[in-house]
Amino acid sequence: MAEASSNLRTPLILGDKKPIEVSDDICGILERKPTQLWWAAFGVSLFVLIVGAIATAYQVSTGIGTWGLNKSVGWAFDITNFVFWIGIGHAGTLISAILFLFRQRWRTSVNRAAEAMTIIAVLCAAIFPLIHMGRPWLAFWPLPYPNFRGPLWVNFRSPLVWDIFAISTYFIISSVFWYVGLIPDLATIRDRAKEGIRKKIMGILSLGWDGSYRTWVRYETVYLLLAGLATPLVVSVHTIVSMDFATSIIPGWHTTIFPPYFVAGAVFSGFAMVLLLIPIARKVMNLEDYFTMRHIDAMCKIILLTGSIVGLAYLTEFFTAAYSGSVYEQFVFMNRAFGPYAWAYWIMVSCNVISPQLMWFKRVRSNLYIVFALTIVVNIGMWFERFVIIVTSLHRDYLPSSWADYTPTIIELLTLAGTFGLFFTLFLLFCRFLPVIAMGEVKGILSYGRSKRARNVSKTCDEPVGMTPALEGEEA
Amino acid sequence: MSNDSSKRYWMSPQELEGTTDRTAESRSDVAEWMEQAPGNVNRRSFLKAAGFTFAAATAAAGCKRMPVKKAIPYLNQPEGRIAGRAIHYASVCDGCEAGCGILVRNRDGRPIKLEGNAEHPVTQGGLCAIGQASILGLYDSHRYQGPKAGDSSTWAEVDKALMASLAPLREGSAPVYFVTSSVNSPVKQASIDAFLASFSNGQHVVYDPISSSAILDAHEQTHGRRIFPRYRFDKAEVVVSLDADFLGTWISPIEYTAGYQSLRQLDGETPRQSYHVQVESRMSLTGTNADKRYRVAPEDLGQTVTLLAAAVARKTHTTFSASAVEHSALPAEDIEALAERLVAAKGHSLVVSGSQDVAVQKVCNFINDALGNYGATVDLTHPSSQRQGNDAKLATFVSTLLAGKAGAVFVAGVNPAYDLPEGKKIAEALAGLKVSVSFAERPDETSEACKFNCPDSHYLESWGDAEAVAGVVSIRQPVIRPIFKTRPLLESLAAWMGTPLDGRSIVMAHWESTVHPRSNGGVAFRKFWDTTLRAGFATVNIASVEGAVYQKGSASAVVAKAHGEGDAFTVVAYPKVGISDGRHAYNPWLQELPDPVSKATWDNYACLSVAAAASLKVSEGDMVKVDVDAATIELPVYVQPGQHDKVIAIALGYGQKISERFSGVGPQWISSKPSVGEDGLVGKDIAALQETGLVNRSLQRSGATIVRSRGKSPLACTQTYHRITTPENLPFSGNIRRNNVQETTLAAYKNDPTAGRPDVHHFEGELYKDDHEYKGHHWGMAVDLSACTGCSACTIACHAENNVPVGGKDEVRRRRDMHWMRIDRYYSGPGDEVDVVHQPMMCQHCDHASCENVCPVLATVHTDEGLNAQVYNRCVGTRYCANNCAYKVRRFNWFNYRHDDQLENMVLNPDVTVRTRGIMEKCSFCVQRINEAKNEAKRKGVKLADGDIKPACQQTCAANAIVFGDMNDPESEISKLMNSPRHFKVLEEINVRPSVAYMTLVRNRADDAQHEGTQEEPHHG
Repeated sequence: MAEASSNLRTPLILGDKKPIEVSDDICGILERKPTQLWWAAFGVSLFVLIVGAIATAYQVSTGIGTWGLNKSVGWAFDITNFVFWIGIGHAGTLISAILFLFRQRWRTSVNRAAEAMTIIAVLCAAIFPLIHMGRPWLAFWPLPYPNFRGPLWVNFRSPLVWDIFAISTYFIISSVFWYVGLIPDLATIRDRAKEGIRKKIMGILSLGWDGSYRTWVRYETVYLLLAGLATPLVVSVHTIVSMDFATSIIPGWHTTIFPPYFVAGAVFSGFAMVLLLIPIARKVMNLEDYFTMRHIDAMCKIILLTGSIVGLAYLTEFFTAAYSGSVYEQFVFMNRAFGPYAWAYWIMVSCNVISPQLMWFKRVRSNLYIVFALTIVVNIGMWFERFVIIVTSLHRDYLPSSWADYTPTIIELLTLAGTFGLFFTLFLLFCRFLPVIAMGEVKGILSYGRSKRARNVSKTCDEPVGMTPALEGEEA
Repeated sequence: MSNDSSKRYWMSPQELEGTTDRTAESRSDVAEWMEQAPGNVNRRSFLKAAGFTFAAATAAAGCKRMPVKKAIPYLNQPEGRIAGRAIHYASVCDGCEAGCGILVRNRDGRPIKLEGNAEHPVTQGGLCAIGQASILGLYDSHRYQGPKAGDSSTWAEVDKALMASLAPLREGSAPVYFVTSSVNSPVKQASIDAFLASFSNGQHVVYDPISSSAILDAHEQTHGRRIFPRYRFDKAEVVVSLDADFLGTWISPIEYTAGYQSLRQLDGETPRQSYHVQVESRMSLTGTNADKRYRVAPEDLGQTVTLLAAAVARKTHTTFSASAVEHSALPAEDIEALAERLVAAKGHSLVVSGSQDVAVQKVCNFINDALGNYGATVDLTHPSSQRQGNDAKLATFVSTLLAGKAGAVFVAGVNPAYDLPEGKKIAEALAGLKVSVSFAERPDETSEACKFNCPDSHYLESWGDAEAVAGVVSIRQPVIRPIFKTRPLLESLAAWMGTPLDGRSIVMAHWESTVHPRSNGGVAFRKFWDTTLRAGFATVNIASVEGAVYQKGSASAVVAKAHGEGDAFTVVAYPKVGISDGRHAYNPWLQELPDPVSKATWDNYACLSVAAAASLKVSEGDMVKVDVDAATIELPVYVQPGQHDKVIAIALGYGQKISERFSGVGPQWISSKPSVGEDGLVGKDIAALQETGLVNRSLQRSGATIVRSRGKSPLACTQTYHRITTPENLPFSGNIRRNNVQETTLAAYKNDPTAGRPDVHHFEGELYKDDHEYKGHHWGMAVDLSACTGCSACTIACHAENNVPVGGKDEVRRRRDMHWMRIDRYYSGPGDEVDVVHQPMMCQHCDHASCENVCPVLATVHTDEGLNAQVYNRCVGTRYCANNCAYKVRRFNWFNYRHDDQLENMVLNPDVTVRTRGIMEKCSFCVQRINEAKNEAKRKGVKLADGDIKPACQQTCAANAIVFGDMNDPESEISKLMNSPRHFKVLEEINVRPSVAYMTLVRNRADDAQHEGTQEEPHHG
């Protein structure tokens, strides 16, 4: 190599931190009293959550009629929000499981927060299948359980039943994966905590973690297995969600492209959400050394990739419609682009296809403000994507007599806002009570002592430095 | 709760005696299940059962359930009455003056449904939307619940007070008026005559809110008799209708529809179709069905008919001068061609007009006479009593009343304070009279002004009769005791004449003396009475109408009426199919019934043609001010293709006091809007726009101006996209005709019976060929698009049969109408030159139903008879099935629709579940009727015959457009239709395999070129 550059990789964690400093940084957040900013954010989130809960309670007690749905458009905000939130969740699993299997070690500082986001997003999503039912108090009926009605079984041909399996599996695996990953860190908190309630709770939750070599080995085996289990879920959940539409006969829904298109869209929106949260978190909690610009850059690239896939899918849909020879199919896509909901369509296209293309530029990727703005834009775009798919397909389908427009009511808007309230409330609680960064994992990739060694090691040496037994793996 | 633990309750005498085990009798499902468990109850099963009980109790306590009502069995069961089995009584409808024969379906002592009497010679089984809905009036809790006069509220007191007030009038010279609508009941007419005879100056004033007095007057002048002919559409092969909506609202639509369709039979050996030309100013239901339609300003109708008369005269070698006519609204060659067709069908043609201009009617009479139609299609020997109104007499009455010279006024069956343009003054004058008596069933503008309210009973509670068409007499029998303390008019009159009698005796006495002598065959009266009562009608002889021949030269050319100047419009008031003159505006079913043409509900509006709306720069829902002679009303606009450009059409019957009740109709929630306007009424009263002081009251008025005012009032339409083609402004896929309606012309059809069906799909290689096996029955339905007129009777019949809820205006505006049976109406063709098609749409009961496989809980399943069954109590309401229905026929219960009027609930069909909130519902092919017929056949030990099962929609259809039956029976009518070359399935190409077939729409036209609308070919990629 002609250039005089460091043969060591750019450190993943900045600041030349010692392990104890990591613990101090991360646990310190929990051990300090919450800041006023936290209280303010929490207060606003909780307020929005309560308003949303009141709107939901009103809807459940009065009837679905308090939503703007009608005889032709039977789903709109409800399922849009559902798919949106499920999609948000995908980034967490992708980061924690797939990137783990691919040995992308930069993931260590973001995976905890991303996973938490996944679980919270799935919770937000799960509200909608429940409350969109006409009789939500019978929501257990789609579950196949032994009963006194015959027994009456569920309809295994219905994609809604597949949904229940897919989402509950996803939720369980993600939660377990997240919890298992938390155990060493919970033990750290336990060990640092003075006598008191925190110590007790963390003592129970950390399951007697002793940090021994054997514990670490077992822990890593379980973690690897769970990562393997969670990986197919990244693909399966949104595939099955997309089948709610793909298996129907409604033009605009009945499309075989949906599974890959939905998965790409989900990853796209999920990373956008992670990128929305991380700049705030690093600023507010002084975690600039952990959430580095390198993370942001990498995630921007994923957004660029998935955003382009989504854009390609949009084009493919149009091509398929034109090629299909079906007047209904052709009409629905023209109607999307130029009909009464054209505004929604063009919001979707400009947010999802055009805006991520800016991320080709390094200067964009390295400007936090622009990235932050783009992630909001992408999230809006992805919400509108689901809205466009659901509403524009339903509102003008086969028989022109049944064509109807849809306008949301205040109840629907408040319910959507309420789920954001729930999301941020839970996320803020997570930031308060659990380590937002996987300390145990981060300690494994510290650049501690590295500056000194960089001077000493030979030019050909490319060995990474492992500080703890944790996550000792091959660096590709 | 009693604490007396020694008290022991017993559930059966056996138990009291200790001969049975109580637990065995009263065991619940849980207990039964626990008994089955081996070794009685072990810990696990106990816990399971306990858990279930707890959960069930929580669920039961947590959700609102319908109150449980105890049904108490008869102590002494009346003979022939079996609980749960329906009894049908023949009667005659009183929804309007048409007098259609009906069968009243009684369940457990209460009438629940009206059906057309299929044996009735005039109406042949049809019943219109108003007739179907009239049963709801019986259970109207807003009716007068008893008589009222000052402080008196019993019949004895009111009678006494009234007799006292009447006494001085009996000998006085002040006229005593009895104001009614046309009386089609001989016994009622006789009673009124007898009652008025007890006064020295008794006058019977007859007027029809929608007057046809010009026809009567014209016949008086041309034929010397003031009679209303019976129009025989069943004999008319060429029909020319000049502004007469005879299939929708004019005189006797059911009779006319049945007759009209009998000559439009395409499936026989030789397809035949009458030729129907409609000349009209607005788009009427009849106009939508015409083979050829002309938009003509109301002022030009006279010229058109004069030119037609002249053309007919030339061809029939008579003379009729049309020299006074300067220009023609129709192309001269069209008039010639039309005259040619009329003359070719001499004696089988018919020219009718709804005009209130006697001169126009006289010209029609001339044409009909020249064509030899009198005695054939215009029957004066069997005149109709459906219209008897005499506007000249009415005018005298009104002026006498307003002058304060009337002695007493009795009002029955009409609402002059609302119907007439002088309404407000009439109400004041009535209030000023010493004796004003109203027989109104429910409070209206007139009855509120009257001193005496002597409410008539509902027609289903009273005895009566009808002879709507001379020679066919019907008995009306009560099917329930009066619900309130009302008294039938006949009994009131008898009481006031000092001979109190019950209704049955009055009717019987009249029939014995007057009707029976006219009967054939010399059967004894009692037998004649019984037979007639059972059948619902009898055919009797009539007094011959002498001397009713056309007096030559009595008709002359009608000179052009002056159009309004410049931008002036003509206001045309019209009756809607459901609301008519407004006497049924209290009826929520009819308010929610979409108008067959505009598809709007719960409102009246100013209809403007597409061109007029464009020139005024207004669109649907924009408020406009309509001004005529200082009278102004403000209404929302409705853009109605096919209307004349200088016409503003506004529906009658709105803005009535009886619509006040609808202020709280429908679900009430934070964003709901009331069904009534700011004045608390449904729609606007347009009496102010009507002309006063006319010899023949007309619904048209020239010289109106219209300007846009501020604001919008969105209309509640059940259909908001109106064309069969996709929106023109969409690039690439715009203006493409959807092929769910397939149509052709008679000429093409005669050539090729499959004409008009561009896409016949054959599916090869089905994956699941025998997905369902239908070993027994396989139910199917066929709908003839050529026969269907769009009259919407089926929608209301279905509403009544299937306990369909009413949502109110706001719910309809939100596109949540609940009708299981809807009629889609499409326009094709450019601008205002449109063709119209009506397509009844209900659940298609697909064999590959897309709704069935998406339901997570199996709440919609396929039966082994091909029905797509909806299991209400299993439905959790995901609405996936409705989304995935290509026909969008599924209806969701968005709220718990109100059933808090206990009296109104009496109309509910006990065979059909009332659905609660949050579940899906839809057409079931009237599965309750299928099961009833199957059980009946089984009970009798006979095979179910084709035609035994008639769903409510088919039953009421006057046009016989709907056929239901077993597709597995090769001899059934449905099987034949399913094999007809004319049949197609809607959306056949998506292979859901519907069980409903549609017969192509055939218009009696020579070729496709006449209307561009039919030229658009469906595109395929």
